[in-house]
Amino acid sequence: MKDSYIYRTEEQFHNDIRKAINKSVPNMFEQIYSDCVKKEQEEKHSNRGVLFDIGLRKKRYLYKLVCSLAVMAVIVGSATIYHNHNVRTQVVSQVMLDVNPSVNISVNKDDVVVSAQGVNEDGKEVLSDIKVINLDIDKALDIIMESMIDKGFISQKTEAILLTVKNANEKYGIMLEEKLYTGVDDFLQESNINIELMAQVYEEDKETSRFAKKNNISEGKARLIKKIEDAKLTDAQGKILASDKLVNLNVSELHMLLESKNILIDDIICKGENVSKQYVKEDKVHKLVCNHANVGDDKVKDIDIQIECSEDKLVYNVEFMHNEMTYKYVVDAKTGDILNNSLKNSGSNKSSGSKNHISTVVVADNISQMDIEKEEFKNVSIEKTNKSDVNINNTVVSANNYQEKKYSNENKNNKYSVKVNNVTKDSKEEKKQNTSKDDEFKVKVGMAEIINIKEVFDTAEKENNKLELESNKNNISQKDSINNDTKKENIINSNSNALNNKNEANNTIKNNVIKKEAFRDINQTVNN
Amino acid sequence: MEYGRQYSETLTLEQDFIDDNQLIDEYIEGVANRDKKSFEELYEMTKGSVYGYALSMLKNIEEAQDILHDVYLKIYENAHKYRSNGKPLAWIFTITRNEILMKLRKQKTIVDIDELRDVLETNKRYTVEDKVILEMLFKEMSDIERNILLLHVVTGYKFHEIARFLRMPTPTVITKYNRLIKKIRKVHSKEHMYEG
Repeated sequence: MKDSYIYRTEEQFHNDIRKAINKSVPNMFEQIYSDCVKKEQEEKHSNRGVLFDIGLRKKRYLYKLVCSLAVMAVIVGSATIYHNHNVRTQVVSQVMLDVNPSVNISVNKDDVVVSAQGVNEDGKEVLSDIKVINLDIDKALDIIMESMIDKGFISQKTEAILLTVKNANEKYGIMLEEKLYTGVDDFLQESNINIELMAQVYEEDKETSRFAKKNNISEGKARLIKKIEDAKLTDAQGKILASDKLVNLNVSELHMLLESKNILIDDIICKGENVSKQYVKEDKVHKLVCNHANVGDDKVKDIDIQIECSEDKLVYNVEFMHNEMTYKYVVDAKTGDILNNSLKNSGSNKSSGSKNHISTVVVADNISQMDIEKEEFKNVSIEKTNKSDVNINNTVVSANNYQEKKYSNENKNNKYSVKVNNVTKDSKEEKKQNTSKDDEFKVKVGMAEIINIKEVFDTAEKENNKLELESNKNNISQKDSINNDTKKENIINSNSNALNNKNEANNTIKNNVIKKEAFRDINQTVNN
Repeated sequence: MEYGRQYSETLTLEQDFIDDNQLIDEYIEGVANRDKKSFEELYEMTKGSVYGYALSMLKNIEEAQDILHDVYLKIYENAHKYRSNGKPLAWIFTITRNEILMKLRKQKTIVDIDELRDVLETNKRYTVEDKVILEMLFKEMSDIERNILLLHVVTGYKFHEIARFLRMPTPTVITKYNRLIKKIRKVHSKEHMYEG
């Protein structure tokens, strides 16, 4: 029967492997030790002088022999030196280091530096006062990075380092990359510098070389750019990112682009902070835009944040919906500045935007009031739309201790919506404690006024028109359109006691809050 | 959680190897002072890791033995230069990797698995289980899988140390390891009768 291994437990498996490997190791200790001692003694002896005392005849013979040997040695030595020089200077690998300075180092088969060049001005500056020729590549890299630190090119604020090894033998290239990666990583750790370290290895690629030369960048950076181009990433306007647009981004920004699009590059290793310290993090962008839109960031659950390349820099494209409005932002990924924003009615009336969209929130103490509101809304909608009848769509949202009912008509040109929140007594206190700016309006119960929905809508419309005029006059950018929001939330608080109160309504619009003192016979009020 | 389970296993290994690290540090100091006993203890403690990794990378028995010889020669020569940072295995593995690198320059051929089988057959130290394990290592696993397994099991590296050494993200190392264990468990959980 066939030999087989029976897996029992993981621990057992581990033990079996250890046992098998340890058994396979030859017992070479004595041989190793004896070689160690022998070598040590040979090295000691080579430092001692040796005296010879021989007879005269032998001396003459020896003299001739030594001269012949010397001549031969000179001939052989010259040939060897010539050969060694060629071998020593023969470039086998290219090692590239990209921070913002770019440095290109040629190494021979012994991993000794044959030559080093700065690819850009910063790279030339780095190499200007150091010597790395004939040094081992790992020592040379240490010296180069020390120079970069001294000259301020590597610091705590540095984004990333890209290490590239180019070698015709892939396996050897990978081993060299591993060795150098560890060396660079150790150096950075010892220097207490915590930055993104990326590494890649590849063979000769003429297209990459051409692109690098044309744009005056290292082949390592060129290769990274080519990878992005191959991935067909798009910019903020939806156009495919061309490689020439990416040239001005640094290596960390290039890597961020790849990460944001979930593009995996198998042969580029990255270790360290994924998003650069200097760039605004996504959760902060979330808060920034919500703050700008005057919307609680906890209320915006589905927010789409994408990092894009736009005009040689990285930006965040942000989009979210709130209260049937679509908010769009473009945020500078480095500074957090809002570069652009827009607001659109995300309902059926997208083409005319939010111009005619007025929403009213009614906070009612009991559900019966919701039905009244609906009737009221219907009547106002009929009037506004000059139609005999309108279909009122309503949706009910139930949440903790309150219900939200939305009404909207189907008329695409004039959309009105009313939200009715039924706030119970228990939830009032809770909401008061945990109130945001929005919630504040909703918990102001107990002060009821007779609501005149028509008046509310008219007033809101006037306000909207006024603000839009001002906006056009001052050429306010879209950034401010959110502050001069065409979506107005008029929050009307009602009290069940007000049902019995026939007092006149006293409507005021102040910071988008309408207080209602008494509420009764709404239909009658509207009709009037 | 599987990861949690792995992590707790690693913790157990960690404790053993932390104590070993201190011991290895002492042995290296002994080697620097030319104490043969320390050198022998160091060899016995680390030979599996060095040889296993060399064999895994070079896949050639003769060359792996050369590496073993050269690595300990280098350790003997440079022990006086070693400065303890609590990670003596990392120092030894750096030497090992450099030696392997030099070997690779000569572009050695990939191991012929039959050669390994021949060695296993003729060597009476191996049990049947040992032979099957070694064949499994070279026949059923990819290079990466084998390296991860040996570094974890024989050398005692934690997953993030393996990740650093192999320049891979830690989650990738953990995923590859877990998949490998699953694969081995699946293939070798059936009841088979041993021969001989």
